[in-house]
Amino acid sequence: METIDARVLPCPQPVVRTKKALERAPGEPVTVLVDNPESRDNVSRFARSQGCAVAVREADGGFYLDITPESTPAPAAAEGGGGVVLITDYRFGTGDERLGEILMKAFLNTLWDYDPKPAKLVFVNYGVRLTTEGSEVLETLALLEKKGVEVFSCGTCLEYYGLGEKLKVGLVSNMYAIVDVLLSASKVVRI
Amino acid sequence: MMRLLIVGTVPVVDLPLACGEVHREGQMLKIGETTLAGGQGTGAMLGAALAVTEYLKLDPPWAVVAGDIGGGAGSRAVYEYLIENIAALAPEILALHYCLPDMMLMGSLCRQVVGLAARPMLLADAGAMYAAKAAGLAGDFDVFTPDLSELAFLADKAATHPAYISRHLFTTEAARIPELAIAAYRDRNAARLLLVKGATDYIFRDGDLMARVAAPDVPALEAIGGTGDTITGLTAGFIAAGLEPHQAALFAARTNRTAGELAAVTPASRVPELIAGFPEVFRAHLCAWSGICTWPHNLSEGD
Repeated sequence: METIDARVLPCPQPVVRTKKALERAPGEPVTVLVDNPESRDNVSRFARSQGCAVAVREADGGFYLDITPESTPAPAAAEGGGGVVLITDYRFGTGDERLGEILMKAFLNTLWDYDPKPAKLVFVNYGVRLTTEGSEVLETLALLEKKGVEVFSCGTCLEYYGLGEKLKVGLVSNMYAIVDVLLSASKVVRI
Repeated sequence: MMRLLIVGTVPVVDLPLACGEVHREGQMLKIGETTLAGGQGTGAMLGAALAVTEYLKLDPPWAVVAGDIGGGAGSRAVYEYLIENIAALAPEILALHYCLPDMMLMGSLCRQVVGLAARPMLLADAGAMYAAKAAGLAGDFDVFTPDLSELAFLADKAATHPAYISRHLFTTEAARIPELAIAAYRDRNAARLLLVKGATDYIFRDGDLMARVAAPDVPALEAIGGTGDTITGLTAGFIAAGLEPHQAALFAARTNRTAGELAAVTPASRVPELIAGFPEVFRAHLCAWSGICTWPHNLSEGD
């Protein structure tokens, strides 16, 4: 268990250090030592906003905040309530082609930063260009996958565009499975 | 929290290369036995970053600097020193500033950095940013902090230096900033995050406009040399404090403006007057800007 000594540190350092500690060891408890009520309240509020329980002990003229994640980090499927993002193009929106590519990259990168994440990403038609060799978002998709987001690419689409051997992230899927994913989802966002 | 290394040249004849922790002595900066003015260029950037680390009680930034009045020897010395020693210096954030844009040396440096076991976050401004773009390495960088004309350079895929911009030199207008930024991203000539400094500051991430900062409006800041360098230094300092780059850029833009307003700067003001006001701005606003403050802050309260 990590202990952070955040005494004498001005705001927002106690919170920033707490955030980094929780990110370093997801699911692990952290104790934070602060020396003023303001930092106690700020760190407590932040920790609770992250789904952690906070126990405060007053000792040695300061406050020990025992921060415990309420549960092991859940896979994205549970966090996102089963949401699915259906991506039908390698561009986001209609208009300038390159702008659309930039926006799609920004969308997926922002998805990585955003919580809760969707349970599944489904790529169909031109969307499969994003999951195959040469895509600029492979790293982001791989990170999302590691975070528990399932990534599916339409097998027919991969073959149609000659990308069958070039899939770099996620699994090949068929239309039955895609229909099942879409119809059993709590919500579907189409891009 | 994170080890910040700031690298650049200063316009001092025959100043030998210096490497070490940065400390303040009055309005001057010390790097080992070397004394630097903190008023402009890399000195202003160092002074601003140091203000952040001092206030947040972090380790001071490190610096590698050398004198260069345009001959290029100091810039080459800095690049070569970094190429040889970057693994031992092991920065977590490497901020490159005024250096003559040497594409070959920048290429060698980037290869060294990308090959490190722990790749540092890369920030560039001024000559180092020109070299990164001209060498086709912009995509390796995490943060660029151009002004409007430098953004026009990034947006012009044919230009190898801001002096050779083909179309935008005399026609750039602030209203075109989003269009220029998109062009820079489209041609892979932008870092992941762009902080475009100017009358209004723009922050883009991956081509997406994250924030515009226009208040407080302090027109005199535009006329004072070095106020763009302080924004870059503040951004590097806040990243070293553990903030996300877009948040660091946002805080930097706000800090510069608020300090300018606080000091009631005029075009005759100097950068040290601005930097002197940073701690007061941090004390008054940093907590609230972070969105987690529960108590009001008083300008007169101590650290």
